[in-house]
Formats: sequence, structure tokens, C-alpha cells
Amino acid sequence: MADFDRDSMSEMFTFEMGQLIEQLEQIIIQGEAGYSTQQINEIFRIMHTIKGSAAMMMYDSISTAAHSMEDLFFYLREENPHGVDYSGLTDLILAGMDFIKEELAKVASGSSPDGDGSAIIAPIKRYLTELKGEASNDVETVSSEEAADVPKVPAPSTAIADEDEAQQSPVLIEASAGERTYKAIVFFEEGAEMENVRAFNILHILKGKIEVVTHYPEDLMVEESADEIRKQGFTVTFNSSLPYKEIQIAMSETIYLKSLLLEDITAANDDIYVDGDVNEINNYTVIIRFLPDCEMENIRAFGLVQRLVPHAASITTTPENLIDENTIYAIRAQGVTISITTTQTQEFIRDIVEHTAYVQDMEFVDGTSRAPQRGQKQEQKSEPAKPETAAKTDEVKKSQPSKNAVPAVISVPVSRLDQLLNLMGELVISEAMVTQNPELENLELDSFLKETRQLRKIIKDIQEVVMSMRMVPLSTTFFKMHRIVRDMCRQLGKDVQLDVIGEETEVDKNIIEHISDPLMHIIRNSLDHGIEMPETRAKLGKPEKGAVTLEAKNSGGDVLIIIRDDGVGLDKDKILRKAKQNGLLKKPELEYTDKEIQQFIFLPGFSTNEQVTSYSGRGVGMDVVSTNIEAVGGSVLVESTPGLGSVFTLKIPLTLAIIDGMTVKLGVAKFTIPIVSIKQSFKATKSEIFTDPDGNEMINARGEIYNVVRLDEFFGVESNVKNIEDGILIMLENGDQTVTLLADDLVGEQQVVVKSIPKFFKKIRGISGCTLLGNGEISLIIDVAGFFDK
Amino acid sequence: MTNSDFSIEYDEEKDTTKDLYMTFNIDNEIYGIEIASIKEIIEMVPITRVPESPDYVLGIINLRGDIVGVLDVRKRFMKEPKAYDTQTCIIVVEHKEYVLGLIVDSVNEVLTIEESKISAPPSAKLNHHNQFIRNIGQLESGVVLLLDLEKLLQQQL
Repeated sequence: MADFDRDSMSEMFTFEMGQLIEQLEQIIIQGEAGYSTQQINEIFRIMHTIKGSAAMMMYDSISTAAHSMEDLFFYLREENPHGVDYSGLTDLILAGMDFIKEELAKVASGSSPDGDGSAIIAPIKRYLTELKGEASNDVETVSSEEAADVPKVPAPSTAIADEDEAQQSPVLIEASAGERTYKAIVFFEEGAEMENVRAFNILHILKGKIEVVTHYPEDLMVEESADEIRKQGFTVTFNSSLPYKEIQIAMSETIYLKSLLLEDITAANDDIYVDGDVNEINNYTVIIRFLPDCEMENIRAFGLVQRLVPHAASITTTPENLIDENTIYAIRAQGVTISITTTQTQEFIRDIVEHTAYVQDMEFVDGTSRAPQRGQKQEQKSEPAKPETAAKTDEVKKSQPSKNAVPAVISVPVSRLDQLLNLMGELVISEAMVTQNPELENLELDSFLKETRQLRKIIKDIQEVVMSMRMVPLSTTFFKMHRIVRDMCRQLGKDVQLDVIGEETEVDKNIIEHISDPLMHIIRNSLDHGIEMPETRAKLGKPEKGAVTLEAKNSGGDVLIIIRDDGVGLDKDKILRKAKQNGLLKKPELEYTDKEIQQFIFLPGFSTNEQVTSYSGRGVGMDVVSTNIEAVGGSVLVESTPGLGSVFTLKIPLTLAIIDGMTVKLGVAKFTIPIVSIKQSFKATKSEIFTDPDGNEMINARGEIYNVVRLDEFFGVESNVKNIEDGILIMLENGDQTVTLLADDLVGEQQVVVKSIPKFFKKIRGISGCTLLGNGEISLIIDVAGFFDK
Repeated sequence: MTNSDFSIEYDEEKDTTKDLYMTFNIDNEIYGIEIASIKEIIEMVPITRVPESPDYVLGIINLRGDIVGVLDVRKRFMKEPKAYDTQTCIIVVEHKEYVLGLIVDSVNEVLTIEESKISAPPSAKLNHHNQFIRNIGQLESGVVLLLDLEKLLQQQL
């Protein structure tokens, strides 16, 4: 068993587990104050899946840990006990999840997860025992899984429809008396891959509990069996002393299980003996319809046929090939018609059909005619229950789209999205190259222009779709913060409520990766330095519970992420003192504005906290915020009111790949300036320009004085303009700073695809990348921030 | 054949580019670059200057949508400048993660130089330019200076 190739699966495994754990963490943290039934069910389900997958991969440490947590939530789900210590529970589960995460990291790095989970499991078990002790009156009646499940088993037939899981009709659930013979047919989900190994694993899991009589395909170690199982299912006949229910539970834990048909064939065999003397041969044709929401009708029909086979001399069905998924729709519309030649009575057949899950109704038609035609059937049906049928067909119709409306999601490697985006960029450029081709100049091109407008529109639409494919909501990143807040509160003894607003806001995948760390640092900082201890807050007349708000919203081409806390705010004097100590002051102390002082905290090595805690205060952190955010072309702002709290605002571009740019000319060279940074562009008159004694040129624009930067000098390129008044001035804004650039002339505004400068070049100040213009020329993209940080 | 690291052992059976060199001229000297490192050879195209780079780095070009840096080999070797003409070519080479265009006076031909005909340059490095020469190939017609792309490209800019 150990020799099958595990690597290819372990990648998928860690990916799936990662997602599940993330999901789980969110639920757990949301539910810390008390879990809703729905949440408990969800947690139970996730734990169950984790356990199953890990067991399948034979990562025992993970599966046992998950198992213990699953047990706990199983108890919560079934018993709904009162007075549960939820925060203690949350601690336990989070610790358990951390353990699983560690183990997963081991798997991801290629080693085997060999951690010892007993430190995690023991407290969970103890907790569970205590819980059971508290609810002692229940303990005796319900102590094990099966016992808890039994009362839930509904009466056959109608009530079954309410059951979510693909439960078989419990033909016989009486306690086991001696061995019984079961037959199971298992289908795996499409794309599950390695069905043979999965089938083998089922047998492996049940080892010791069952005694396998036969299984088909017989050799599970050969890959061909996988194909076979995909088509025919995995059929296993076995003896076991376990009750039906227990086996069903055990088998349905298989991951990637699509359907399980489990039947107790002991019963059937018995029945044969009972009815053995009925030798008359009968032909029956029965039309069976399934309940509208049952799904996988073909498999159900197939299962039914399998049950009938032992009693039939011959059996045919319409549609014929029930394993073919496409028959689902035919069955849904017309039911499945089974013609059977048997020595059994009609009652016997009826009995078997009735005990099939999700059967809505059955109808025996005259033995000689097979009545597979729709017309006939309608005739037969019409009289007795017309309104009902109509209602049902309605229902069917209604349920059909709802089934199809299940969001079809596929995961695509990011690299492929990147590739698509690159091609998109090429398309945008080549469109411009074609439509602005110099050879077209001075030609009469009415219809050409019309067609190119259409082309441009389509390209723009495609571009939007491509971009939207890369957009990811911030929610995952935001919800991670809940965990941080919670852990820190526990450790620091603070009480903080984190509110999240606008987490559905989307940003580009590439950008989101850069946001997580800065957010974490800001939140940690707020909790550690910002929010006071509850007692202090009470003395100050603030609510004891601190509040941190995380908000995201769109603003033009940017996303604003705002982190607000109602803590002490930034201590201006302390920051200034510290800045002085570190020699960061560049001008007299008194000249610094509040805003400038506050921005100091983003400099490397800056922390005013005297005490280093495990979270912050080592002087790393806030500079990470600004570097990370600047790396994606964003900016950070902080505003603070002493005693009332601070507000951090991260301004992040929606996307990096395609920007609106204004292209300017400088001699023969072209430069592109991101439109978002341009405040205005204008021609100056000579009287507005003056020079200070250091030779710095300035301009007086409507009473405000701005520095003028000559782009040609800045970049060392040739320019045709010597006097400022001959060129064009472009006023750029970066935060609250403003500068004006001098260029020769404006070329035009267009969308440009940002390309990076080859690695061969080092980072060039004032240049963030380059782009191709419509005529194939290269234009350098100006990095506005480069003109400000001196 | 994109493997451009010419110090590694090739699978000699399969490698059809072994011992093949593209030669080009600068002044009267003949230089060679291993064929395996060459992506393509193009005519002169407009070059966009990139600020803050040394004078021998001419800038970047648009190679069918890819942005490629270009350097002038003549300037790099501190030779007298010469106006570009119809013979001037850009040899686009790929070395490790770099793709770079080399401007040369003209390209000549593809030659086979067997290993036995290749010798190391004189150990005494008297003048600048042989720091870029890895080996010297000896032919009946004369010598070919085989370039060390590693050194040529690795210059910190």
C-alpha cells in the first residue's frame, strides 16, 4: 500500500486542507461567543472531511487529531448541551488546528507528518468528558455514535427526502444478530482519480470489521481497475456482524464518494427461501419516478436494478445504460422503466422498490406491454392524480435550474492567468498598432474607423473580464485578522471587538499578497500600543471593550483600506523625541507638522514602545507596512487624535497591469505618467516663474508655489524646450505633496500595459516600468513617488 | 536549444550546436559567440534610452512585444565610436536569466571550431578588452576571440 505514488496526491491534499482550515478558522472565530447549530454542523463536516482525507493519505497524526475534534462537535451537534465553555472550546480547537497546520506544512515540504498529537487530543477528550459529565442525564441513553444516530432515522419512504445525505433506505436496522451479508456499490466523484487506490482504501479502513467475500474489479492494484470503477463502480460483497447503519456511516466517510449503494442481501436471500415455492413466471413492467431533489437518478435506478437482479430471470431498463450520466435527465423527465421477468410476486417487487431511497412513486403497467413510450404513460397517469402530477412536474422544473445553478467553479493556476493577462496586454498594444498605423494617415477610412471602434470595444470588454478573473475579495485576508485579534487579546488581557466592513471589495490577486502583512502589522500595532487595558479604558470613560474597525472600499481606481482604533492615539512628543534620538530630523523640530511627525512611524527601526512584547515593539513592522504597500504602488497615511485613537489608511491601486496614462514628449523620448497622479497640466507664463538663490525653479500657480522639475535634467535626456513657458507643466500629486514636471509636450492619453524594465537594469529612480505605444515605440512609465522622496 | 551555459557538458550526440560559433566584426577583429546562446539576429531598430545607465548601455528595444536591453559592444570594448550603418546588427543573446541585445558592426558566418583548436587567452591581462575574452579559437585564416558572455552581461549597472 505504501508503494503507491503519494506525491501527486499530497499536493492536492495540502491545497484542499489549507482551504478547509481557513474556512474552519473563520467559523470558529466568528462563533466564539456561542456556535449556532449551522456552525456546529459546518465545523463537524469540515473536521470530518479533514479526518477522512488525512486517513486516506495515511497521515495518522492529522486524522486522529481531527477525529478527536470531530467527536467533540458530534456531541455538540447531537446533544446541544447547555452551559458550554465556548471560549475554552475555541482555544482547544484553535490549538488543534495549529497542530494540523504544522503537520500540513510538513507534508507540503515533503516530509512526513510525524507530530505527536496527544498533547492536543488529550485536553479535547477531557473537555468532552467534562461536557458529557455536565449533561449527565443524557449520558446513559446516548453514548455512542450509532446510538445517537438511530433515533434520527426516519420512517422509510416520504421522510427520506428530507435527509441531506445520500442515505439508503434503512431496510433493516435492527441490532445485529449474527453475521449479515452486504453488498455495496461505490461510485467516486468525477475527477477523483486513482479510484482503484480509493477503493482499496475502503477495504483497508473496514479491515477487521468486515469479511470480504468478493469484490469487483478484483485486482485493485492495477491502474486499469480505476477505469473500470469509474464506469461500473466498485462492487464489494462482504459479511459483517455490524449493523447496516454503522457500515453505511463507515463507508460514507470515504472521500470523493459520489454515491454509495449499500444493501443487506441477507434479507433478500431469506426472502428467496420464503417465497421459494412460488414458481409461476411473471413479467412486470414498472415505471419508477424519483423525488425531484434526489439527484443522481441514474445511479439510484442502477442500484435498484442491482437489487432486483438476484430475483429476476431477465431484466431490461429504459433508458438502457444507467451508468451514463446523461440518462439522469431522461429519468427525471420520464422516470425509469424496468421490465423484469421473475418468479416473484408483484408485491415482492413493489416491496423492493418501495425500500429504495428517494422513490417518489411507481406504477406497474400491464405485464405484456412494456409501455416505455411517453404518450402511453401520460395517458395512464392522467386520470387519478392530475393536479398532483402537474404540481410535481412544476416542482421538477423548478428544481432543475436550481441544480444547474450550482456555481460551477474551476481552479486555474495563477500562472495561466498571468499569461492571459500578458496576452491581453499584447492585444491592447497591437490594436493600437493597427488602428494608429502611420500608413493609414490621410486616408478616407469611414467604415474602417467604425469597425475599429467595435474592435476596441470588444477588446475593452475582454480586458475587463480578464481583469475581473484576477480579482479576489479581501474577505480571506480580513478574516485572518480575527484570529490575530483574538490571540492577542487573550495574551495581553485586552478586550477588543474587531469589526469588518466591505470585505467583499476585490483587488488584483498580485496585490492581495502584499496586503496581508501590512494589515497584520497595523492591527497588531493598534492592539498592542493603541488600545488600553480594560481598567484604564474604564477610568478614561471609554467602553471597556476596545474597538478596531477594518474597512475596505473602492475609491476611483484605488481601494482604500482603513484601520481605525479607539485607543490612545499616537504620542506626538514621544515620536518626535525618538526621531531626534535616531537622527531622523532634517529640519528644526518646531517646523514639523503633526502629519509629518505621524509619518515617522513608517521609517525603519522606529518603535516608541519601551517594552518589547511578543507582538510588536522590536522596531520592525511599520516600515514593512510602507515598503510593502509602496511596492504595489500604494501609499499609507496615518491620522491620529491623542486619546481618541488612530486611523491608518492604505491606498492601493486596483490593478497593476494596465493603467490609464498620459504620454508626454521629451525630445525624441516618450514618458507616460499615470493619470491618477496628475492633478492638472498647464502652460506657464514667464511672469509666474521665478528662481531661488540655489537655482531651484518655482512656479506660482494661482497663489500656490510649486517646485518645477525639468524632466530632461532629471532623467538626463535631450529636450527641445529650454524655457519653462515653451513646454508644458504637469502637476503631480503624491499624498499631500505636489510637484510640477516640465515636459516638451503632451502626446495623448491612453491605456497602457505596464511592462517591467529588464532585470539587467537596476531600479531607476522615477521610473516604474515601461510600456509600448501604438506605434511600437517604448515609453518609460514615471514613478510619481520617485519625485518626492529625496 | 536554449541552454546557454556553455560550461556544462552537453549531450554530444544530440547537441547539434556544439562547436558552432557565430562570428562578428568589430574594427578588424573577429569575435565569436556560441550559437547556443544566440536567440536571434536583428537589424538596428529604434532604441529607447534608459536613464541612469552607463553610456555603453544604449537602452531598451521592443522585440515583438518583449522589452530587451541593448548594449553597444564597441563602446563596451572602449573602441572608437563608429556610426551605425546597414551592416550594423543586434545579436540577441540569452544567458541565464538575462536576454540582451549586443550591437556589433556586422555579423560574418557560422564556424565550427573544434575544441582542440581552442586555447586559453594569455594569462597576463595587459589591456582592458581581453577581460571579456574567454578563449581564443585558432583557424587557418586567423584567430577568433571567443566572448565570455557571463562577464559581458554581469556588469553591475
